Amino acid sequence: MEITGTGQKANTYDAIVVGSGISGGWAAKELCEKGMKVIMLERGRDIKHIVDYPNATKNPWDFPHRGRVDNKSAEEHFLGMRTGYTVNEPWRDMFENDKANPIIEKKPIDWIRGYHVGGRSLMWGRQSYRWNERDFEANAKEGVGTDWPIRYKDMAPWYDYVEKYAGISGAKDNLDVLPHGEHYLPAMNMNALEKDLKMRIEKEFPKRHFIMGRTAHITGESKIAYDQGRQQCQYRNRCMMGCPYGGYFSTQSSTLPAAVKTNNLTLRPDAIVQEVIFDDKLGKAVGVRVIDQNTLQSIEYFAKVIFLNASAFASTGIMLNSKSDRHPNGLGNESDQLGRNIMDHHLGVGARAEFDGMEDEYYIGRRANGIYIPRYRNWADDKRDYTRGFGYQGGASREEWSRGGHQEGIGAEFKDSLSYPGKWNFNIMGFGEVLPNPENRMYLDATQKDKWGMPLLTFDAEYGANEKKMRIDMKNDAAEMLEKSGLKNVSTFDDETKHLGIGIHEMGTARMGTDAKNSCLNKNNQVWGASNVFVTDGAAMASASCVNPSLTYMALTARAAEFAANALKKGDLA
Amino acid sequence: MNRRDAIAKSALLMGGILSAGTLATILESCKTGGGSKVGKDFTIVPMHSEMIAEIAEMILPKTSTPGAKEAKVPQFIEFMLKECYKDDQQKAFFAGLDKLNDGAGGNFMKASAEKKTELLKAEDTAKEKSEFWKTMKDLTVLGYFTSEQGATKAAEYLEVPGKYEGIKLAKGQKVWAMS
Repeated sequence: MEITGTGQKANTYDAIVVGSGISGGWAAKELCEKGMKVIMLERGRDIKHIVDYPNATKNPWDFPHRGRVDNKSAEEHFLGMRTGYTVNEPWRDMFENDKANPIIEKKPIDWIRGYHVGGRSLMWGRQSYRWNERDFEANAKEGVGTDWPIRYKDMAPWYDYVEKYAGISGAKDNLDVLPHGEHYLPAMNMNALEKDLKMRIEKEFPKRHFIMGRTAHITGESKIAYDQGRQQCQYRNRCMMGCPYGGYFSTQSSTLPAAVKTNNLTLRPDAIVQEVIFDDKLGKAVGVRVIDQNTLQSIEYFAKVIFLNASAFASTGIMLNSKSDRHPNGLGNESDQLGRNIMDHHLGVGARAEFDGMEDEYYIGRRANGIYIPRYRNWADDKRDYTRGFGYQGGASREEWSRGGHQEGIGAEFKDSLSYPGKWNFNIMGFGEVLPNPENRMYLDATQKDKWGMPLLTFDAEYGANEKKMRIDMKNDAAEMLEKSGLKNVSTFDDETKHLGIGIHEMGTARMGTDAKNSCLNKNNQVWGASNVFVTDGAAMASASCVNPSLTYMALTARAAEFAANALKKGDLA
Repeated sequence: MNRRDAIAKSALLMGGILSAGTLATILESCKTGGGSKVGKDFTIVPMHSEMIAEIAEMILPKTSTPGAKEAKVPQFIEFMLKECYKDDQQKAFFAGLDKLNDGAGGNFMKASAEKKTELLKAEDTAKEKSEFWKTMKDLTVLGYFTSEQGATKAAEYLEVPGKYEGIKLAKGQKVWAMS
């Protein structure tokens, strides 16, 4: 790879971080705080904290379409329309326009993208769970995929570290299946029906637990959060429009201010990374080649260390597009696993029901969180005809005025009835683990490119037999729990119209492993054969667990950043 | 709640993406499929405009709180038809209005209050409700309770709750405008 001389010095940093979402933000913060000069490259536009959240403080009547999708947006976001929510008016601009950002679907994929500073840290679900010991051991024990090169004990101190800084609300539930942290902020409150159902379900099913969801919201006094410029969650439930209070963890609210404070950070929006520049003579990566999304100008940036945090598929696309004599099939692809093993969480299956009674009970506030029933299948002495398991997320609420849109009735009495809360209802939906399967893959199209010259990402992946079997339990168990806890009119749902990606947890396409023959990354998230390149987003995952993954990405990133800084000092990355 | 709503509602509730109330504003959004014509050729004849206003007010009339007209629901329905519904959906909607007009002997607006109520109740209680009626009812309720009048007078509007707690439902406590 030839390196142009002019401007090289000006474009040279200690570290390059590609992507500014949850893991990129952590990489930038950690490396900057270790005294390194860092440039964070973001392919999309800048979004500044608070000032660039135009919808966050609007009233419902300030939205011309009152939150719904208009025809023009539906056309531009034709892939997003499959999700059922990303194209809606309040947060549509946080999600990618599919016309401008084409992909190729050999099989349908529901890839949800957020190309802007902050990435999906602005629109994430914020559920924050640790993996358990068995999550890291399951591949080896079952002979599935490849073994994780790390175990829970390697991650535990890093879970502590990121939880303390990010601010995680939750209870110390003392469950092996769902380890808790020591620095939790107070758990959010259950409402009256949830408290009642917790007792009923835990009595009826002694091995199942009904707990409050753990979420990255500031729910109590926290000097650590206040020092970041954040305030407590105001229970507005408008998170996906950006939070002017910094009530939840995002790059903008939390990691970016820390990185900026060091004076070591350069943030460069509009910079689409096309490839990592690998110097075959030196045997290491020396920088990245970027195209400005607006001017189409090609620019090179150089650094001793490169962190890829562009999101699983995008980081993998960059690696596939980075070819050299040492890495002829893409960076770190000696194993041919790069782009394979697409995982996510499969969901959209569960049950809902009504509850007669508690008519004098209500609640104040809009809680952007729900209850959680951790995995109990294939756990302890339970054994099913599939492997791994699922958790349920759900919640109780009272019907509000929107019931009028589909209930019978017209006139004064009908109208006035809608001014008061309706029946209590409750629902739970499963989040299931997806197994790694090398046939589930993405690759670069040989000829078609986007307007920035990047080969189009092509997807060829689908849910497998294990996931489909698991869904039968996910549906039946949900209905059984609701029926046995005194709820009425139980109905099940199983949305079969969705595809891998809908969980917004795509992962696995550049997995960690024990050697270069079975994986792309080592135990420190270093690319095999390019030890100064680290990948710490979802691409690194060797399995998926059934819990939401972002907290694990944060912990992996902080861990790898410390390793990188120490290795650099020792001269190991030279 | 139909199956599709249940799926969408549950999908969004989960993962703390959204909680129940915001859902009302996003369910039954522009369906995909149908004609591709967008907005600009949209026209509405005065008779249809008058009927939309009249029917919206009959669904949600002025009581101790403002009615649909005062909350500018008719204007909202026309705007939404233009912006969020495809060509064939618009045609089906207007055909529904024409059918009602025929049912009233060719002049819905001049029909007696009893006759008009009878016609609307027939739509509302039909086993298979027409697409026209489903859209009319949905947009009327949405437009009303998300309007300033509806949200602040027919519901309780609390912009910044600051907490989530169980409360006893006090007499006269209205439903929250946002959830």
